[in-house]
Amino acid sequence: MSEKVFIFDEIVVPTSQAARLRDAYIADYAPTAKARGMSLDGAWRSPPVELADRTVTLHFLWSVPNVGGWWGMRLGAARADPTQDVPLDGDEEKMRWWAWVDDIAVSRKRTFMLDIEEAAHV
Amino acid sequence: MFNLLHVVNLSDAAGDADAIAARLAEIGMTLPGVVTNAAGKTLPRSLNGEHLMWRISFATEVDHWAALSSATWRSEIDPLLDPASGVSFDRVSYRPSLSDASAGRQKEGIWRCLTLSVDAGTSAAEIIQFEKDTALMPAHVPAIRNWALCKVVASTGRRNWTHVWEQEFDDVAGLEGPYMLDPIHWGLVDGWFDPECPQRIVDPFLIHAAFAIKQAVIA
Repeated sequence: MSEKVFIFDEIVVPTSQAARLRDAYIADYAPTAKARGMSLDGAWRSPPVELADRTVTLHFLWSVPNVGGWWGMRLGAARADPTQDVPLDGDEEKMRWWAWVDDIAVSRKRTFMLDIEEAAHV
Repeated sequence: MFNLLHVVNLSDAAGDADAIAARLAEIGMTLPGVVTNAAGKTLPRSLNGEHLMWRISFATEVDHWAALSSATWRSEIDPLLDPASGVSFDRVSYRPSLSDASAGRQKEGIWRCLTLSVDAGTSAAEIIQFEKDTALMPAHVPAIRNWALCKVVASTGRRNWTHVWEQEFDDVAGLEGPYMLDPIHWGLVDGWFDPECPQRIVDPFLIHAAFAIKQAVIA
């Protein structure tokens, strides 16, 4: 059974801002996420055609190896280690980033997911 | 029940945390209407838990306010918590809205609180859902013995505190292990706290702290 935990961001953004948000996500957010142990497993946009007066949804699928990795992502690796007495790390940076996103986006979701084991051999 | 919590910071000049906690616990037993009373040094790995905590359960809110305005409080407790002596504290007066103290406790354990502040302007529907989700945790995490989800009636300190989520565990391992690892925590409840989740409503500055208890304090 895989212990991997998936983190799925879905960000709905006006078409006019889609490239701006995509580029910032890749250039600014992704490196900080990777530094917290997250691996980018895939990224998509929908719908396949961009229409000027509609919205675009950006989808980013991340994963961490297990629940310990999830807490490392959430609190910082040192804080997630029960043997270390250190402060929580990174909340202010996260707040700033997502406040910027929320100012541009129409809506967004972050979903946490586990594998459906029964589908592994389909 | 009606509860009172102090989370106390001591400057170097303020004195020894163990000695001050012992004195607060000793005086606390003499206050009117006290049902349970415990104080102790904050255990390692707290977030904003400072140096010591002191928690009292009163039979009624009336007892609580009577204690705070009592001569004993003025003459015995105020000097121990005097800012002029290098002491600062969060004081939180709170009432359980959902609780289960049926596990009891006649042995040592830990009491842990998450004292938090929901953002001003959060809708009632969101707060109710947050409370419902949080109250699901004990059914999924048997390491939680007694527990209470509480609404703050009055507070002073570093935030305008709104809730106290308090639990008792047999030991720190229950808090660091099952409590953290169960998906009810990281997969559902934490979203209300996570700065990366759009449903976040809790100020990231919160008090996560525990201290050792000799018997149940959640009554």
